[in-house]
Amino acid sequence: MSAPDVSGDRVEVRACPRGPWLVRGATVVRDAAGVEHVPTRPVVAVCRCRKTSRGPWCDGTHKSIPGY
Amino acid sequence: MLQFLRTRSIYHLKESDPQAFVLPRLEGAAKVALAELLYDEFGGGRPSQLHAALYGDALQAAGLDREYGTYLDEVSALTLAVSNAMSLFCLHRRLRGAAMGHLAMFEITSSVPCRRIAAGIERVGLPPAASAYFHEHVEADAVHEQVAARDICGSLVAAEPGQRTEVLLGAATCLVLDDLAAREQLGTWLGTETAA
Ligand code: FES
Ligand SMILES: [Fe+2]
Ligand SMILES: [Fe+2]
Repeated sequence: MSAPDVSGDRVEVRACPRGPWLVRGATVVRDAAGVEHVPTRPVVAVCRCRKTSRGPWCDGTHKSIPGY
Repeated sequence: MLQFLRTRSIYHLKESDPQAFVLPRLEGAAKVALAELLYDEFGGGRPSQLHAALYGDALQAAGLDREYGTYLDEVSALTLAVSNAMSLFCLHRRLRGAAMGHLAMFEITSSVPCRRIAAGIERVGLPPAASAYFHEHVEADAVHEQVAARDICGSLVAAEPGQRTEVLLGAATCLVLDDLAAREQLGTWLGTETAA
């Protein structure tokens, strides 16, 4: 799946196996609809499974997707 | 629901304080990752977002006392054991691996349950401030579980392979004690309490 839509000077993105993107240093994260969200914590988990109820953030839903 | 909130006050009103003692006992990448996690637990630079204070706000919104220790005498031995295990692990250098294994398992088992607890709080009609703590933890702990498992425990074990069994001990302790405490709690609610 393509990388998350983020902005920032020194952004570090890492894919967690069978989990979210772990993003450090982003000043803006855009969700699937292009709406901008400002991270309030030093590192954020951006949903990679597309099933979260709180996009763009991971809410743990990926754990209940068989085979993800 | 009120009883549940009182029970959880034993740990959540001092949330992450035990783990702060582990910081000087770690080195390198594991230390950096724990500091990053703690910064978030301690409000990320915003006093109003201190997790322990958010829990105090939740208690207050539910008409309960936010002072630490108010409900100490009414909680069960198992509830105290859950909290004491953290203090035991976190206050001894030789148990730092167990402390971080416990933390990782605690975070891993938090996000999804917090979503359901928040929904339960709203279902019984308590105000938004009562569920805000749990909503915050849906997102926060989805992050923390990755940071704790990979960057704290992963880095610790990579640097000191001997810590692997300690990390697993902590993780297993978290699961066993939480399971026992949860069974006891459910037994009380369902009226099927058996001697633990
Ligand atoms: S990756 Fe966690 S909910 Fe989608
Ligand atoms: Fe927290
Ligand atoms: Fe957390």
